[in-house]
Amino acid sequence: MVTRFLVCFVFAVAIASVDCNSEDPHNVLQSWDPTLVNPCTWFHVTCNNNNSVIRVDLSNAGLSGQLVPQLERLANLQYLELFGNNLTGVIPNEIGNLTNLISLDLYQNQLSGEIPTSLGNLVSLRFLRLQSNEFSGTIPLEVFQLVRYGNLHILNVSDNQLVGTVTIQIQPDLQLLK
Amino acid sequence: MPMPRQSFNTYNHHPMLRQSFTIPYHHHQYHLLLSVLILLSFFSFSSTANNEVVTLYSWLHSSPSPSSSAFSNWNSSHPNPCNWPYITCSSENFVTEINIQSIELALPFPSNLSSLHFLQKLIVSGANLTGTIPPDIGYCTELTVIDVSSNSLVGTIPSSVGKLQNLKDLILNSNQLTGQIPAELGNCINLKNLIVFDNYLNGKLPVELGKLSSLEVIRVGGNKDIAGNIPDELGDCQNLKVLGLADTKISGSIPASLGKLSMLQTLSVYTTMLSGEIPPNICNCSELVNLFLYENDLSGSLPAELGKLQKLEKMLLWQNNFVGSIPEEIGNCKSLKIIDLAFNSLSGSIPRSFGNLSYLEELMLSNNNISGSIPSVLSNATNLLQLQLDTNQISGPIPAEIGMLTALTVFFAWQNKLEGSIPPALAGCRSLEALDLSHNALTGSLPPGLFQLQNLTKLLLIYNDISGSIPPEIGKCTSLIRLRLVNNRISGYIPKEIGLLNNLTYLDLSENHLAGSVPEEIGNCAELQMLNLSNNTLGGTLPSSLSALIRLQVLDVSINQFLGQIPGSFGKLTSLNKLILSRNSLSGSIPSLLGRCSGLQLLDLSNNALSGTIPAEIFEIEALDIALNLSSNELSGVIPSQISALDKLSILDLSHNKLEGDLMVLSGLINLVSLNISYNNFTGYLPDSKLFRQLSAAELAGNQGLCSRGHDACFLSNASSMTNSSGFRRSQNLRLAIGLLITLTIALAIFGAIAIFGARKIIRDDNDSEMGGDSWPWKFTPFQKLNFSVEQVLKCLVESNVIGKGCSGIVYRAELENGEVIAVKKLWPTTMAAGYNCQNVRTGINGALVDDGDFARSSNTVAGSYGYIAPEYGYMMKITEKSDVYSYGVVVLEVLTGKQPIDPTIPDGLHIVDWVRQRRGGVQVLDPSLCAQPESEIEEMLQTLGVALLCVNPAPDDRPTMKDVAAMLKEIRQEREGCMKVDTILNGSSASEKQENNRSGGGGGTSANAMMPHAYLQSNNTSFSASSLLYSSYSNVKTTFK
Repeated sequence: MVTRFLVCFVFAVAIASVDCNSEDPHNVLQSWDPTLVNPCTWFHVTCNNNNSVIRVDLSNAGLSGQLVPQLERLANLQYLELFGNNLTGVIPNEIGNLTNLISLDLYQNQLSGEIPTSLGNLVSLRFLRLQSNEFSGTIPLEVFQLVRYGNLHILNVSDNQLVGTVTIQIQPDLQLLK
Repeated sequence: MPMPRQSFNTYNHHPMLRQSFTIPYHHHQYHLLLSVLILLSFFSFSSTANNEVVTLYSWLHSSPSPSSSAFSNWNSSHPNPCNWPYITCSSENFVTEINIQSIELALPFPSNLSSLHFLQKLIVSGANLTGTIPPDIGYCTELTVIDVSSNSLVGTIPSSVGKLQNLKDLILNSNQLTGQIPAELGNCINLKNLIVFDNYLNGKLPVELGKLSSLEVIRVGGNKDIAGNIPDELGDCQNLKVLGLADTKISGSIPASLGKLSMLQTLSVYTTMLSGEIPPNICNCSELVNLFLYENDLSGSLPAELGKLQKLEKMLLWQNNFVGSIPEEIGNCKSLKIIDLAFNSLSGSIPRSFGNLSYLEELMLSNNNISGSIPSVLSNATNLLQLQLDTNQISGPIPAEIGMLTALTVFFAWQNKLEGSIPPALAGCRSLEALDLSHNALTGSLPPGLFQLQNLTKLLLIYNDISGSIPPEIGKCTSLIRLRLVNNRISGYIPKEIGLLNNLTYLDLSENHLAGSVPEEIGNCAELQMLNLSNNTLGGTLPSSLSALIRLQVLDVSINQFLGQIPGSFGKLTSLNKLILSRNSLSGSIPSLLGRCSGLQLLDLSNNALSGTIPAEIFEIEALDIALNLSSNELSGVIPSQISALDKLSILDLSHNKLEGDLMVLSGLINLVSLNISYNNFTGYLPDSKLFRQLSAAELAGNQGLCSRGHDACFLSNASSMTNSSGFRRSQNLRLAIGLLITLTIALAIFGAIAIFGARKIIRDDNDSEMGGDSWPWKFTPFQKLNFSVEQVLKCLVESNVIGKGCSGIVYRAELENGEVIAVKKLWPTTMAAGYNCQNVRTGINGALVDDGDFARSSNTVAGSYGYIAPEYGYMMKITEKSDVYSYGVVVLEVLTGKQPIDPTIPDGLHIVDWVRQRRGGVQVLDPSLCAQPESEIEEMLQTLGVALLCVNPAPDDRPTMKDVAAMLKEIRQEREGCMKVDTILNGSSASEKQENNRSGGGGGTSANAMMPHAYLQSNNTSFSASSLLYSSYSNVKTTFK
């Protein structure tokens, strides 16, 4: 199942027009052999002991294409490191179902649209770096709640087209007394 | 999302029909009638011949064209354009044909075409023609061919095209045309080819197309917004040969009327939304060659009538929902070259009749529920190139006869239930390029003959039960790129001939029984990117030749018996991404040259016998962000300070070594999520970070001299505090002692032996009828002289009522006979507390508290009641007086909200603390029966609630001391007395006031306002930032209370 998904992922990331390789200039996906039943020996993929994918490290790989909703099938994913590529399109809402995510690094791409509120579900998330993209709209309150009630340590959304006001209460109890 | 097919990349067996079809262009002869017309009108039009020059010349120069040189002969002074290139004229010198192909014009569609009265063919393709198709094209009534394909045309197809009664070819594909296909096309009764694919057309297919009995080709595919059903009327296009609707939103079922299309050769409706079953009538289309219905939502079983299609060559039905068995009759389609039924739910066995298909090149049945065995008669299909049977339920042995398929290039049968051995006869498939039999139950040994296959690039036999050894013949298989034999029972040595495989890129021999040493020759496999030898019984030293494999990205030799040192030459492996040498017997020191492996994201050297210090050079690996595991070795010395450079590292495991020194160097690892430093000789304090505060005891255990188990004092907020650690420790202790003494004295004076705070509560569970009384069921009486006797309280001081216990005493929850609930703190004897000997206290509740050494004044046993235990107590086993403060806060919340700590009426199973916090401590959390109290009392309750929330702060440091609490509560009372002397619920206020004055007098003789900040600074002894934070919290309490 995971394999099939990841193949999907490959095809979606390196959107298979006709020649897949033209979208994968650094050949980072060459080892992604679809006939393997799990993707754990694929390069840039790391699994836990149960052969469940916990990391996808494809930063600075020259990839183009879009993030696919099927990413949510990687239920144990902790690290999605896709920074420094040419990814376009939006962050699918389904990313919010990856509740084990610790780090979501999508910076330095050409992603656009709004930051989905579903990211507020990512209670384990410690690092959310979305800088240097083309995101618009406001930063959802739900994401800020991750700073206060979740585990978010680093939130970087600079160099986008975001608007709105940012209010963060560092000390929750001050807020409580109001 | 279309599911990509598992195709071997050498062969692309799904032609993109839209691109690959070539349409024969007929040379149309003049109709007799037309010639007569021309003769008749010759003289009347002769004077206007120059109009054609003007029309064409002005078109060419309507904008600067990049290809004007090709048109240098288009001279406006010529009497007619008949000698111009790309122009053909009739014998009467009228333009009949414009034919410009694959020349970059970048011109708009020609205007005034209607002045070319005799134009029959307009062919301007691949010319970057822009603009729209003008409606006046409908006046060019002689037109038989319009081909303006592969341009940049926009706009709609003008409905005036319907006037072109002579039109045979309308070829508009590969533009950016929008709008619908005009229904008026139904008037073009001579239309043969309607080719409009790859545009942005929308709407439905006009039913009027059914009137076009001459129509031979309809190609509308690649217009993603074409929707609706396939019109039944298309069945009337009795000359139709090609119906192409692929990659659209065509839906509904396939009309049975298509069965009337006796000329139909190609039915191409793939990647659409077709549903329903394949109508058996389709099988009347006896001329059918191509049946492309893949990537739809078709269901039902495959009609047996398909067997009637004697000319069928390609049957692509993959990715649908077909069920049932594959009809034997399909074996009668003797022209079949490709059968692709993959990604369906087909069951039953592979029809033996497929053996009759002597032209069959591809048999693709992957991802179904096909059972039975592989029929040996398949060997009769001697033209077979690809046989893909993976992910089914196929059982039995692989028939040796497969070896007769000498043209076979791809054989996939992975994820089945195949058993028996790999037949040596398979070596007869001399064209074989890819063989994947993974995830079966194959036994026996590797047939040496397989490695004689000169074209074999991929051999995957993962997860089988193959035994025996790797034959030395492997060296002959020089085309091999991927060799994965993971998880078998292959034993013996890795043959040195493996070094001959100079194309080998992925070599995975993990999880076998390989023994002996790794041959030096492996260093000749210069293309290797992945080498996985883990989980074998390989021994000897790691060959230094491995360092020649400079393309290596993954090197995993874990779980073997390798000895000796890690070759320093591994530092040459700059492409290496993961280096996993764990669980061997490697010894010596970690080579500092490993620091040159600049691409490493994961370095695992755990469970070896490595000794010496950790070389600082490995912290120069900037890419190291996944994990650094050096655990279970014999490493010694301090952690080099350079480790702080690893600010991207997620997992660090240094456990079970002999490392020493303090851990402050780890404070800069901001990305660290998992850390284990247990069982070393670390000393000193812990960096004050969330990570360290959340570490379990197990992750810190076994470090004598490490301040680890229990007290906040172990956490240092910054490294600068460590400049004089012993001095700091001394002053820390002194301040602790002073602080605690003061706290104890004050607490003793204020609270006496027992009562802290009380409230009267009529417990509803017990007797609802008591609620019917005239008074409010709740009474809030802070610092009131409570109405109970010492005997009553003492009765409640039993184990079952313990809320928590800490350094200064045990807190009990006491429910008195009159329904009052109070918290009672029984202090330890002063001598014990003052002497910091809490760890030696023995209690009757949880047995002995363990000795925690110099620093930790805590217990490893959880003492207290669930619901009242402070969070740090639960996960860090730290008990401090701040844990008691927490418990106190819970009791206050309990009193004010009328709820138990774990109360079924609290939604989502929240703890009372989280519930109150979630509601921001607002008035809505108060016991509803209290809400009718005067506003001033509500205010007072809310203020008290605020104090309680400070007490249940998750960070122990941020909680006030009990002395602070007392001062704050007192202030609340004073405020109220100052404002509302009359409106009071205090009974005997003068007495209570007097008592209170006595208490505060004993506490230091100052007013509460003056005392509180002072008290914070004194009692908070961990870090300045914490105390200032508390101070600001307190200020906030004050201001918002007003």
